[in-house]
Amino acid sequence: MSFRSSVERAWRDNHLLSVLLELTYRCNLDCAFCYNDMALKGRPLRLEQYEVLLDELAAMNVLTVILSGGEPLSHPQFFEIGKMARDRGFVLRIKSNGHALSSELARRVRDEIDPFLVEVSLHGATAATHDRLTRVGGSFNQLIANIGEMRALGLRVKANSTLTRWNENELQEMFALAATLGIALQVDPEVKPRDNGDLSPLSLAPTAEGVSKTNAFFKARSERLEHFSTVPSHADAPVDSRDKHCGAGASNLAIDPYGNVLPCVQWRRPIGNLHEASIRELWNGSQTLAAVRDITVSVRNEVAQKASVTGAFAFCPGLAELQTGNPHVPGSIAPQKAHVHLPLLREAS
Amino acid sequence: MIELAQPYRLSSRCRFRVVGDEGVVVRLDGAEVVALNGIGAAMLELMRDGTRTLGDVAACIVERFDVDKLVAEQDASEFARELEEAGIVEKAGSP
Repeated sequence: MSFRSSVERAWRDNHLLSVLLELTYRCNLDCAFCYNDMALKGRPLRLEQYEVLLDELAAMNVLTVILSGGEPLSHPQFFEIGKMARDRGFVLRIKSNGHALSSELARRVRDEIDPFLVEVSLHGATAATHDRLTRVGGSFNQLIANIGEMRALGLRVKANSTLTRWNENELQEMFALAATLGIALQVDPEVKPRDNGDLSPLSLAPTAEGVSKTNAFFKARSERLEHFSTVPSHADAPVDSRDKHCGAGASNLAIDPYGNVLPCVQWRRPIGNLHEASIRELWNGSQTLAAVRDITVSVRNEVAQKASVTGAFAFCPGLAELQTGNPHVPGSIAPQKAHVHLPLLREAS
Repeated sequence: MIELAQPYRLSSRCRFRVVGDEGVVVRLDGAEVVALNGIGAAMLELMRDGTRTLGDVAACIVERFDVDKLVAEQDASEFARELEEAGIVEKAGSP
């Protein structure tokens, strides 16, 4: 018995463990590679609907709720939603760019929401690179100052980064900076298309040389550091314990600001809408969700066969569907996803 | 032995969910996760809100798992002591 085995069983048995709430697509930065579809229209969920949703998720024994965006703090009722989630006993994560999390807001986050983790966005080791990607001057210096303040307040902070051709040569320095700041850093080696299928962000994808260097860096680093993810990777999970390629629609869901329920943040195939059905109804009765789960089963076998020929590689059926219209057909073969970071969660012996 | 009339509740610094037939406790301060077996998860679920004494918890366990009352009471006491030492539960006021 272990946490990992519990997660694997949740994955296999379709036990919803984690829900990501995209509260808004508003943002105070303007990242050049942002994947959000800013033009998406709809009727935003109201506070009362979030309350009903969180009640249901708690009753369904969901462990983790992630408040995301856009910039979630720009939602006018961010603190109310965060407090409701805290009061229902979720492990709370906040995915913010960190730009607004200066002393007063950071203190309110700690006192009113009490998150397990605040995740911020670090896109370079220097102001020139970070600010070039966020397209907001001063954002690097503001972020570094805010991280210091959050750490001083006792908040647990982690940085996320997307590898691009503009920051691919600063990876080593970014990890050094994160270590200096006393926080973990997780690097996603893929730039994603926008959620509406617009491929223009891919113009910032890392170069082949950058990917190669990054893989070598990750490999060397993983040999020196223990790494642990709260969700076991496909490669790590014992073969007998899993029947799916990923937890999309099996152990996790995402919900956009307009109530569209999605298998995961990268798989933008709506399985229903909270204006029309409850989360429990969708979880138990959505035919689209059943189809998504079937796809993750078939993809698992396809990837296993392909990996035996080409070696390990990252494959996301949601991303494939966005790029090619077919969840079985990748638009590009990405480097093996290597989430190398300091341990965030450890199991008690 | 811990007093059976004592109620315990989940610490405010921990999060707990039942996943399938097991339990997962996340300790916020230590960033540590503790997995519980089925009976452990059931006991903590019963203790969670602090409204049941350990005797109440043991009685529920007797019904649910078909175990001897004395064994259930000893197990509940021992389990509460371990959870309290680990900072997962705390005393929930006077019985």
